[in-house]
Amino acid sequence: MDNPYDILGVTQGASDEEIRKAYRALAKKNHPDLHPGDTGAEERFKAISAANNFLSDAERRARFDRGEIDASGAERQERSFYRAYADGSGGETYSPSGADGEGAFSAEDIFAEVFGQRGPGDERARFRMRGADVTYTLRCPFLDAVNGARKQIALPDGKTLNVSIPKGTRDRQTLRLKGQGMPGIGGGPAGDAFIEVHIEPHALFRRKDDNIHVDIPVTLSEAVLGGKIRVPTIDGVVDLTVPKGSNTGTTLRLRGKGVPSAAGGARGDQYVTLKLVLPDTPDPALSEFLKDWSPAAPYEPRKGMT
Amino acid sequence: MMLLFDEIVVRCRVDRADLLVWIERRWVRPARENSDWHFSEQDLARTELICDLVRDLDIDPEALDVILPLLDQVYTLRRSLRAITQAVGELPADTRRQVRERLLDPSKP
Repeated sequence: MDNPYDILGVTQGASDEEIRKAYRALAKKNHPDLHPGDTGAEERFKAISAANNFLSDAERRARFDRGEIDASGAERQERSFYRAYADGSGGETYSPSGADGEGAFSAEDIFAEVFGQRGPGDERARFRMRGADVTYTLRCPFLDAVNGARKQIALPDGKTLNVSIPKGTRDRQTLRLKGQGMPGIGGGPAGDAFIEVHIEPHALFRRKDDNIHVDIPVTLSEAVLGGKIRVPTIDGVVDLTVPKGSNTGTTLRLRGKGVPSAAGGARGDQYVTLKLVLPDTPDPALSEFLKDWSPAAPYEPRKGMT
Repeated sequence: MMLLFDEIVVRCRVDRADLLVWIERRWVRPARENSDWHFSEQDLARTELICDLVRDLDIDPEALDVILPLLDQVYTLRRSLRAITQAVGELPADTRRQVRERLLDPSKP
């Protein structure tokens, strides 16, 4: 080996850091795998590596500086560089195949481009390929899906995708964003992004087709005497008249308070199912009244069950 | 010759966790067999290249997602260019001369 200082282009007094920097700069310029067409790169890179290895060993460097040893005898690294495989037959192992989400790019594609050409500017001649489609899932709160909303999806590559959720979107419905998939190749159009919407359940509302179902508790007097109560709907609170003599299970309809139709058709309804609720603590007056009370028309709610 | 995961760790003096990440990111693609990784000689050479890039050339590992695909394209291009060159080389001498003149004609891009 020649003088390792000369190989790295540093002086004998160079610091470790200077040697490391010089080595790094030369290695970048001469790494054979990064310069597959440069036949001399491998020899130069080996010399640079050997010089760096030699000078990285403080003891060996000191002995060389004192003239006790020469630069020969430095270990010779036996190694097959990657380019020997990638540049030879079988090199297509790591060719961009499209399988890893990257654009396919094979030797055949290049031949198609070179020999398919009929003349300059002939669009038909160039190799074009539409980009791949991608699928994402999006969790969406119940009311956002019913009333429509704008959402953003953070993509793995750091980009964000704006998704407009149309009103009335159903659970597991797939939205298509045209041209938001992988980019095309050779001027081909980009693929599409498909968004599968997963709707989270709501504490009160349940959806059946385009109708909304909700259970609403009422007091004993509201059920027996009737009255106006306030009930939630998917777009705000509305007044509802409870008819006299209502019961647990009585279902009332709020017309047109259901799920808006995405297609602009008729809106569904909201069904309110009443649930009779007694006071939290037993009421003495109510107990007294019931002791003396016998229904004018006796009734058997468990008829046929026992 | 096939090398196992542990042999690569020793030969390339690479951190096990790093090598797993490289496999996971598909920078190197050994075959999965009997719950171990089987590295071909090409996979070994590629692992050594990644070591050089990250360790000796001090390249940010994040940049490898850019560098390796570009490198793969360069090698694909080189192999195709060689195949084209060979195909042209097998053409009749007269046709070869025409191709050569066309390629060296400065008036045509």
